[in-house]
Amino acid sequence: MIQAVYIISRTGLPIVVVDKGDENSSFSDQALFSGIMTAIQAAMEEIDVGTPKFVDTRKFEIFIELSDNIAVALLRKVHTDVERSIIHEITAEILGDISSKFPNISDYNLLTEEQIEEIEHFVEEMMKKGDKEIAQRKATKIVSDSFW
Amino acid sequence: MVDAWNNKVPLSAVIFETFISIILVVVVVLILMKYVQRRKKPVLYLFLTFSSFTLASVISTIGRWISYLAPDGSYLTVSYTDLTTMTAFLLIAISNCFVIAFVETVFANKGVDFALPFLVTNGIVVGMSLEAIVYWFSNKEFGLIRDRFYILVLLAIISLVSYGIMIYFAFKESRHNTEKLPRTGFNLIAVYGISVSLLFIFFALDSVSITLIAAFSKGYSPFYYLGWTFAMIGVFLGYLGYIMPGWLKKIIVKKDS
Repeated sequence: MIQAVYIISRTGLPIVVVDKGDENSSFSDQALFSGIMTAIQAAMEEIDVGTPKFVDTRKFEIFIELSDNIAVALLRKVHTDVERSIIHEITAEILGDISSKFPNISDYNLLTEEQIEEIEHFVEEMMKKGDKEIAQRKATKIVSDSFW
Repeated sequence: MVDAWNNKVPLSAVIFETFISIILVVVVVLILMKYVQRRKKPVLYLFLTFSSFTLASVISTIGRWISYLAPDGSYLTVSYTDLTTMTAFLLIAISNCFVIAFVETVFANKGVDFALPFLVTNGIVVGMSLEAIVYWFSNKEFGLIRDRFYILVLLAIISLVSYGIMIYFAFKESRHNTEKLPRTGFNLIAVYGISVSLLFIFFALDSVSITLIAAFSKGYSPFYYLGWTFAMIGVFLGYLGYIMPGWLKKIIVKKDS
C-alpha cells in the first residue's frame, strides 16, 4: 500500500501532504522530511553526482519525481524489485497529472483552503489508483519478465 | 466388477499415453531452455510442475507397456500397472505443490499462509501413495489402486482446487490487461488450467463409468481417451501461453496494431 505522498516546493517546503500511515503527523515532521529530501537532492546536484530518484531507508522506500516547480515524493513500505519499477512509473504519473491539473501549484502561498483540499482529494484518488494498478500490473510484469 | 478392474491394457491406451509422454518431454525441454535463459523463480516452478507431471506420465506409460506386453494373466500376479499408477499419483501431488508455488509467486503474494493448506493436503496424498507403494512390494497382486481408490479421489479434488485457483487468477489478470499480448497469454494459461482440470474430471468419470455403465465395464472408456485428449490440448496451450513462441507473438502484435 502507498503510505504517503508529499508534494514539495523546490525550496523544500511541503505544499500538500497526504499520509495514510500517520494521519496525525505534525507539520514540523512533514517540513523536516521535505527539507531533508530537498537538501539531499540539492547536495547531490551540487557535487554533480546526479539527482536521486529513489531512497531506501530499510523501513520505507521513497520514490521521487521532479519538475521545475515541484517535487513529488511517494512513500511505500519496502517491497520487491518488480514493484519498484511500477511505483517509479506511478510517481512520475502523479507528478505529471498534478503539474498539468494544478499549473499554479508552485505559488503555494497563494493557494486557498479549497484548492489545498482539492489537491489532497486528487492525491488520495491517485494513491488509490496507484495501489490498484500495482496489484493489477505485478503479475503481468512477473510473467512478462519471466516468460514473454 | 472384478473383470473390470482386471482388464488388460488395450494397445490404443498404450499408444495414447506414449504420445502424450513424448509431447510432455518436448515441452519440459523447452521450459528448461527458458529457465536457462531467464533464471527466474516462476520459470523454475513451472519447470518443476511440468517435470513432475511428465515423469508421472512416463512412469505410467512404462507400466502400461509392461502390462500390455506381459503374457496373459501374469500381470495379475505381479501388477506393475498398480505400482506405476500409484507412483504417478505421488508425482502429480508433488507437481500440484509446484503449481501452488507458481500461483503464490506470480499472483497471490500472500506467503506461506496461502500455500500451507495446499502443501499439507498434497503432502497427505504423497504420504498415502508412498504407503501404497511400500505395500506393493509385500503384495504385488493386482488390486492396489482398486483398494485405495480414495487416494485418486483426494488427488482429483486437490488437483482441481489447485488448478482452479490458477484459472481464477489468470482470467482475472487477463481482464485487467488492456494490451493484447498479456491478455492472450493469461487467457491461454487459464485454458491450460481448464484442460488439465478436465483430465482429472474425465479420469474420475472413467473410474465411475466402470461401475455404472455396462458398456464401459471393461475400463478404458471414452472418458479415459477424452481425458488424455484434453491433457494434450492443455499442454499445447500451456506451451503457447507460457513460452509464447515468436510466431505467436507476431500474430498477436500484428492483430493489436
